[in-house]
Parts: sequence; structure tokens; C-alpha cells
Amino acid sequence: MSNYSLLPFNFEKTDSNYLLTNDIGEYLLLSELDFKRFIEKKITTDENLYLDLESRFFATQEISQQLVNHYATRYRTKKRFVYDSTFLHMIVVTHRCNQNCLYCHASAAKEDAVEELDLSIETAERIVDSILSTPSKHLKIEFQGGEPLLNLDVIKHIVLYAKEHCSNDKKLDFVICSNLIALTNDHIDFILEHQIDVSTSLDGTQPLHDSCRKKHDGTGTYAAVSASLNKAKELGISNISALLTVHKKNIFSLQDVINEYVSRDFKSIFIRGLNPYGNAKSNYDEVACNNDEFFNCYIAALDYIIEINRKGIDLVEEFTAILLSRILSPFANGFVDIQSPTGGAICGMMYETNGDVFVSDEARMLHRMIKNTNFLLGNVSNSSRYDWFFTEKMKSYLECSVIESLPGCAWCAFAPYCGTDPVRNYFETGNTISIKTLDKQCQLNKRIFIHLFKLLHSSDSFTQRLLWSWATRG
Amino acid sequence: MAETQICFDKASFTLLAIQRAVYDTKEVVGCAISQSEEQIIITLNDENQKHEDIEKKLRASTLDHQLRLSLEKDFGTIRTALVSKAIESSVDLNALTNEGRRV
Ligand code: SF4
Repeated sequence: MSNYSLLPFNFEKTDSNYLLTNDIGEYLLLSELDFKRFIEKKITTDENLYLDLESRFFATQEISQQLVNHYATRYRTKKRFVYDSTFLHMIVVTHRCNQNCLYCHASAAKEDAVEELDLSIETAERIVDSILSTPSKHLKIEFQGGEPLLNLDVIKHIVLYAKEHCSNDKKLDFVICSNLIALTNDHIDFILEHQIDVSTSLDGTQPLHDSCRKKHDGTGTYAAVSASLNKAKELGISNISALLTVHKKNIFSLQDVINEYVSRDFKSIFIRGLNPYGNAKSNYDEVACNNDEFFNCYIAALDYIIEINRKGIDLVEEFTAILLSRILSPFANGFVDIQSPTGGAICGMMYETNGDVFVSDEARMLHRMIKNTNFLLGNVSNSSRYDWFFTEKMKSYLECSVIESLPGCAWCAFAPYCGTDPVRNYFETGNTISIKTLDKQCQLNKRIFIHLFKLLHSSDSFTQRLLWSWATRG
Repeated sequence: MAETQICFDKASFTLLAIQRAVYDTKEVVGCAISQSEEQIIITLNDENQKHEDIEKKLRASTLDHQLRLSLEKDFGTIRTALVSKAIESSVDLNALTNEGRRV
């Protein structure tokens, strides 16, 4: 006779085990036999297994108000980002770029392009007004391009204008996403004076980086990036991070890429695949790798990073760390690309040079490629945040990203840690909701989740401790 | 290769479980689902597919989905209660935002 009730969960059979997860992100791995006993309610409440199940909210002896309240609090904590307001505000300050990368997602124009491709001071002020009207207490303004440093005057104006008009109860941070190849002392002084974070791109050693990241004359940019990184560090900029893009030309050399990051004293690396936008689409055959290649190389790279850490060198793989923090901590994390509902608009927004407002970076890339306006919310010159949010467009955009109600995701054990991007789905399939079995991103994420759960339960205590430390770092 | 029919007894399997299994089995390229009085029948009609492998996968997946559906019956009500409780403070979002324009 059973004396416990089941609480809601999803399950997935992995090898000979059953992975159970629930809406608040708790998980448990059960053997086939224990799974059977559990659902048939044959586990006795004095067994350790029962205590595990109860403490992780898979079973209860009494559905009390206290239990409901506790669970509800945990649920809200996991979905905290829904209760906050937009935190990340990305501004395209120019479409011009001094590089011509083979996979450029932003469809950038030449540095000396004469069309109106730069953000003006007047539009910049309207954008900042709108950003500052966001209720969020912590705002991050990220300058994007093109190459943002080509429009430094407007960046300077935005920083000063935003600081002047920002209320005292808000924290304001700035990030410049720059390829750094034209970094000057003037830039460095400004970055230091205003404590601006810098995010650059580094695809590995010289031949790997230069294979895709080129100037308009076809020459590689590694030497210039390398010199700028050295100069910036010498002159005191410490908050520089680098983003790696994995493509066909560096995917089989990820150990070299990792060694390059270590040699430059970066403490983390984000093994990130290509987005399908811009030049990455037109040069697809030359730069894109398939899911199997990416997965196998990603796993090998992760193993290598674990071995490096074992030797005493600190290096975090960011994507793994993000997923692990979803799995192991009760909190939401700020990774807007994979969450439910999507972080587009509610966590991050994108402002174009003409003042157009998009739900995400990907949405503006899509618009620049094919002039698609499905994810265009309005323009800062004639509408406000209120107008952008209270529309059918926004409602349907968010609705189709709530994976708890999507076919495939609704019963997927990885749903508490996962998300889907309606913009990418639309671009790749013509529909904002993808068919999960045909969705490459979903299939890749599933394989990575399965691997991470295996690692979490490996017999190697060092790996376990390392993964926990990644998941729970501040 | 000829069509293959995979039959499920209605006493044990529901249409929803079978539909979910078909959705989840990416190897199914073309199929039709029909019903008789006692059975639900999947007809695999893509000639280029190896039907035995697909049948195996579909049967295993249908079993899992049938189990999920019966579990959902067991804890569906409590799940609705838990999630409703979690978001109760935001259900009248329109009123909140009209008043405070908190977007
Ligand atoms: S996108 Fe794929 S992995 Fe993620 S929850 Fe949905 S079905 Fe699961």
C-alpha cells in the first residue's frame, strides 16, 4: 500500500538509468528497477531512496500548503528573470567594419561605406532615454557593430549622456564588443576612465584565427588583435574577455585554441558554434560544421579542459558552466539564448542605428539579411517600451518560446534547463516553433545534457568537484 | 519495400501516446495513423526506410509516452496547483502594468 504521492516530473531513459527532472530543476538518476518501484509506489518511506526523492520534490507524504508554498518559491526563483525587467541593451553604433570575416553574422559593410550606416547622436539619445526608462535596477549597455570603435564619438556621447541621466538607484555597466584591430591609446583612455568592459573575438592561434577573421584585403587579423590585447593589458585594461567562434577551420584544432587562451591568461572559454546568419549563411559550405562534428569536438575539448584544470590551470568552459548552473543551482542565470520563456526583449533588447528596436541580436541580423520585420518591435523615435511590449507580436513571440507547452519539450527531461529561440526557428524552418526531432540545436543540446549528467555521475571525484565549482561560481 | 502496419491495442494505448511517439521518432518520414474499433494503426509508407528498426523505436517510445500520460493523470492536478501558486502574483499583469507601466 503506497503512502506517498508522486509530484510532477519528466523522465528520460539514458543507458540503463532513468533521469527524472522537475519544474524547479531538481534531478535524480534512478536504476530501471528503482524507477519501476518508485512509480508503482513500492518504495518504503524509510528507505534512503525515498528520502532523496522527497528532498528533491519528486514525492511527498502530504501535499500541504507549506509544500505548495515552498515549491512555488523555488519555481519563481528559477524563473526570476521573468519578474525582472530588461537588463541587457545592445546598441548597434555602426554597420561599418574594418574586417570582413567569412562568418560575419551582422552582414557588416566596408569601413569607408558612404551610406548612412552610423548611429547619430540624436537617435542615440532617444535610445538611451528608452533604456533608462526600464525599471531594472541594473542595466548593461553593450556596444555592437560592425566595429563599434569606428563610431567612438557616439559611444562617448552615449556613456556620458547615460551617466548624466541615470537615476542614482540604478547600476549602469558598459561593454564594447570590438575586434580591437584599430585600438588606439585614445580608446584605451576612454575605456579605463569609464571602466568599460571589453569583449573581443579570438578564434585560436594565428592560422586558425586568420582562416576566417580577415580584413577586406584578405589578410588575417591575428597579429593586430594580439598586439592590441598586449597593449590593452599593459596599459591597465584587465576586464577583457574573448569570444571564440567554432567553425570548420578550427573545430578539429580545439586543443590549440584552448592552449592559445591559456597562454593569454584567459580564465574562461566559450565553445560556441556558428549562428546561421549573415556571411555564415552565404559561406555555409566553407565555414559550417555539422552536429556530429561539433558534438564530438566539443566533448573532446571539454575533456581536455578538465585535464588542464587537473594540472592546476584554471579554465572554465562557459557553455558547460551555464548549463551546470541551471542543473545544480536553484537560481536562474543570465544566459538569454537558452531559457524559457526566451530572454529576447524581456532580458535583452537590440537597438539598430536608425532607432529600430528588435527582440534580440539574432532578430536584427535576420532583418538585415532579409528585411524580415516579424521581430521588430518599433522605433525609439515614435514609440515607447509600453508600445513594444503590449502587442500581439510580442505575446506570440514569447508564447512560442515557453517550452513547457511545446510538443517535444513538454515531456523532455531537459526542459527545466533548456530553451528555444523563435527567431532562429523562424529563420531555419519558416516557423517560430520547430519540430524538435528535426531541430539541430535541440538535438545537440540533448546530447550535451546527456553527457553532462554522465560527467556529474562519473567516478572521478576531481571532475565532479570541478563541475560543481563551475556551476556555483559567482 | 511495402507498407508496414504497426498495430496498438486500444485497451492499452491511447491515440495521444501514439501521436507523441510518432513525433519523437525522427526516422519516421511518412506515415498515416488510423483507427479501427479495437486498434490504432500506424502505416509506415516511406519506401526508403528500414521499417523493422522504426517499428522497434516506435513501440518503445509509445510505451514511454503511455507511461508519461498515466503519470500526468496522477500528478497533473498538483502540477497545475504548484505552477498557479508560483505565478499567482503576476496573473493580473495587465492591471499591474496599466497602473505602474512597469515594463
Ligand atoms: S529544445 Fe530539445 S532538449 Fe531542449 S527541452 Fe526541447 S526537446 Fe528538450
